[in-house]
Amino acid sequence: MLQVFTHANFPLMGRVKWFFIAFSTFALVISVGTILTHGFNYGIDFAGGTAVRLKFREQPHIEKIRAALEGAGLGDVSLQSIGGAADNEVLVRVELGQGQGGPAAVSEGGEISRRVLEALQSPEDFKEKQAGKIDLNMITEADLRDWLGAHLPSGGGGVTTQDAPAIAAALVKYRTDHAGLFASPSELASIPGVTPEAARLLQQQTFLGPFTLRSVDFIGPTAGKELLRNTLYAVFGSAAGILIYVWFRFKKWMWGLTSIIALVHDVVIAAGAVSLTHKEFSVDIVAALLTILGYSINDTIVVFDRIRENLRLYREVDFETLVNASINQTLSRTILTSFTVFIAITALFIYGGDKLNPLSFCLMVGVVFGTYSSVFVAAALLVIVYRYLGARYVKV
Amino acid sequence: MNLDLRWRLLLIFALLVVCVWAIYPPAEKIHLGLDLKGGIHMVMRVKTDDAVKAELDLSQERIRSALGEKGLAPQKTSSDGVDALVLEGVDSSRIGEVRDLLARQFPQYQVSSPGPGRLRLQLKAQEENAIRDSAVRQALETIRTRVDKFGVAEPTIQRQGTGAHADRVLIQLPGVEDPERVKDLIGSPAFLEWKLVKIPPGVVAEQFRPPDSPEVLTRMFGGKLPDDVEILPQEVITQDGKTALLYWPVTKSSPITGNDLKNSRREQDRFGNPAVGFTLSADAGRRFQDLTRKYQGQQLAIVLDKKLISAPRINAVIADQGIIEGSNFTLESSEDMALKLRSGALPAGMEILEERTVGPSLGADSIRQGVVATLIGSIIIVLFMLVYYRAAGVNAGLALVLNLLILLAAMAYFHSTLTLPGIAGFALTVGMAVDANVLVFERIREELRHGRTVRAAINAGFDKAFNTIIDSHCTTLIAGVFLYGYGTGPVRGFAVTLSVGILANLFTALVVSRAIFDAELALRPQAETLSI
Repeated sequence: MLQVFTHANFPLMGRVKWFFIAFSTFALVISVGTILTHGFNYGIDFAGGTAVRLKFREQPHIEKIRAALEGAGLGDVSLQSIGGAADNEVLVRVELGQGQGGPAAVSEGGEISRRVLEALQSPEDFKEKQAGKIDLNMITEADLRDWLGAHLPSGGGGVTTQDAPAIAAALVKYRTDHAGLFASPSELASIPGVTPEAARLLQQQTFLGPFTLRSVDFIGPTAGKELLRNTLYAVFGSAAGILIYVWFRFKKWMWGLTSIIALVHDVVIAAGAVSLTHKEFSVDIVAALLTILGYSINDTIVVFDRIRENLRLYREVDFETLVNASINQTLSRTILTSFTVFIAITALFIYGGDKLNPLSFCLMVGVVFGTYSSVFVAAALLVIVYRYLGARYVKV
Repeated sequence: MNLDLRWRLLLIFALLVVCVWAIYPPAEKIHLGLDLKGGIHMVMRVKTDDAVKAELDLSQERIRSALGEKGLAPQKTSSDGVDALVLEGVDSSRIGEVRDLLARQFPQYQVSSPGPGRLRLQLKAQEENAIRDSAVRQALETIRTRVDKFGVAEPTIQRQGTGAHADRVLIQLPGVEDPERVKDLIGSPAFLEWKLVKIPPGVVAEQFRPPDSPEVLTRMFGGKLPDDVEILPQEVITQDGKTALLYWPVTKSSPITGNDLKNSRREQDRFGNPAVGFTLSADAGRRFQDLTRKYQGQQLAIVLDKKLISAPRINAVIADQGIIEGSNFTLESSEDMALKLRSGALPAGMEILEERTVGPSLGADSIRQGVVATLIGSIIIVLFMLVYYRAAGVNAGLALVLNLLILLAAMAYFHSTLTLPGIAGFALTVGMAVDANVLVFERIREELRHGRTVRAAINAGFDKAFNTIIDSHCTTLIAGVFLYGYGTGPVRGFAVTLSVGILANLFTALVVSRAIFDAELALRPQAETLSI
């Protein structure tokens, strides 16, 4: 039988607990300090503005792109590569309040993304467009269908107008499966469903733009502010909910208090890690923090339940020894339960793509510290309180 | 095998069948969010102030004429803020008469007199709310019509927000890739007006060319515009492909507007260029005939949303049919304009608060990555459980699979939307699903170590772990519920999968896993060892 700890008997509540209390304090100070001095790298959800995500056919020249965008008078533009180097993806962010002057009917949101795309268009592509060619990397399926309908021969033996929807669908499916881009015109001939005549027509009368549009986000100034307010409601609301639950559960307020301290410790450190690593602070991070709030108390409950159980069984045993024994008895399951969750989140962190990266990172930190804190913060504090304030506050 | 256990196993099997039935085929049953499917998500605000202001402008006209008929016309009327009018220079001796008339004919206003000869008409809050409310409802209808005709499958167009935020409209168009066109189509009021061009004094009508700045135009009128004239811009494309603005002097009043249209469609002008054809209602057709007869030879400006499209010269008497030409029309834009005119004008302007467009390729990549990550996580966890708990690991694996099935079935049944963070919630559910198993299994091992029989150990394991399992699920559920209340769009998907996953988990850990153990005991009643 495999067992993490068969007869664990580590002296965790002895002097060594002070080392961990010091470590936790240090980690808390670093976290709060980083949050206060560096703040968060607020994502567009909170900060507002426009984010345009582009995928290029070839390695994009960040500096060239920057120069082109600055020439467009969009004001402060920040550029960021996304994913691995081979992904060739760039996120263009334009702050709110820049480059105003769009039509009053539709506020700046729509304007900015259009102007970004215009600014990035090369003069050669502009000429191609002037000559009536279409950009196969940007055209929508509906437009492609129309275009094929107008350009394929209307009769004859080979491919005709009637094949337009099927060919357009085949092309767009291929493009979607290849991250939204045709890399070279020669690919067109090898796509299943695209006849050689159609491929020839496309090779002659279309061109492949240097990039495709992956996503556009615009968040106006009011939406960001409202979100921040709602975030605070949600965080305090769920914290209060869990507080009340823990209160009812442990009855003795000191048990509740120490577990809440451990909880706050986990959430603050997870938030600090996000700030320290400059991960984007988006709604996803809020979701992660709330999840940590709900999840990281679980291990504490396991440990505390065991302490209470043992308190009833062994009335003569010294409290510190009893807590230590309880921790050791539950150590396997404390570590195992967190370990399985950790596996799931790590898989998400590694394979889940860049969009889920901040969320899974924050959860990873939260789960690790949540496990650690159930022993070295919650239980350790209980032992310390017992020593200085006596049984009145702690015993069942 | 006792009867109770048989019933339990039957129930679980039935649930399994129901779940599979609810999910199959997944492509139809599981609703993907826009972040996975691709499409446009927009939150727009109806500028209801516009509608209130329009109501005030209308009242102002009617109050002036009503009072004028009785010889009580005030010297000046103006608006005060968004929702009040001020009449100045009212005949003080007859102020009671004026107030009577106002109270009788304009009961939507609360009249007060802040000073001698002054009256303030405050639009009643109830009336104002009704105007705002109807503006949003009308906007919703108009947008619906426009989107329907645009041909989007399964659009979502609904009112959002309450109280002060009741002016929000949520628009979700799956699969639409062209945000610019959509925004123009649903965001512009499309209020069409015909106005006469007022040539500045001393300029020969045929030689008038609109200048490129409003100041120059004002100077042409001698520094001050006549009361009934306003300046409107026209966008033109210059030789080098840039956009420039020209300014036209036109009458403030509009004898014919978009409200007079009976129909409109895409057409061609006599050179074969795209244009928009229109048909007027019978009444408006007569007015148009009179107008074109009276002002033949003059220019008639066609104005859309306070921007001049073109100003053709009236060459002949036109009745109820005509076309709108414009230098900037393309096939697409003339089609869209005809559609907007057909669907009627929006009662107020729209403002985009939030817009998210996800291309189909990004959505497809996200699904692939999310599913791969969840599968890898699940496989490693199941392998780990098998190695660590041996036969009991199979139990945990079965519970895990059923857990995921219940979660998917619940989402299909409640028409919940699966989003990218929702997939993260799935992965997390997988990790948490075995937590409860671990708690129970560890407890059983402990009891076995203490020398209990297999049956007693299993009973004690489940009993003693029960409270802990309930607790840990409750706290996570509390966070999940708050997250649901808070979240918009994708994050809400996370809250859904997390919360439903936890409930499913509770069931599989306490009922399914227990039933499997009991079945094992029933098959080997005298078992002395347990593979755990």
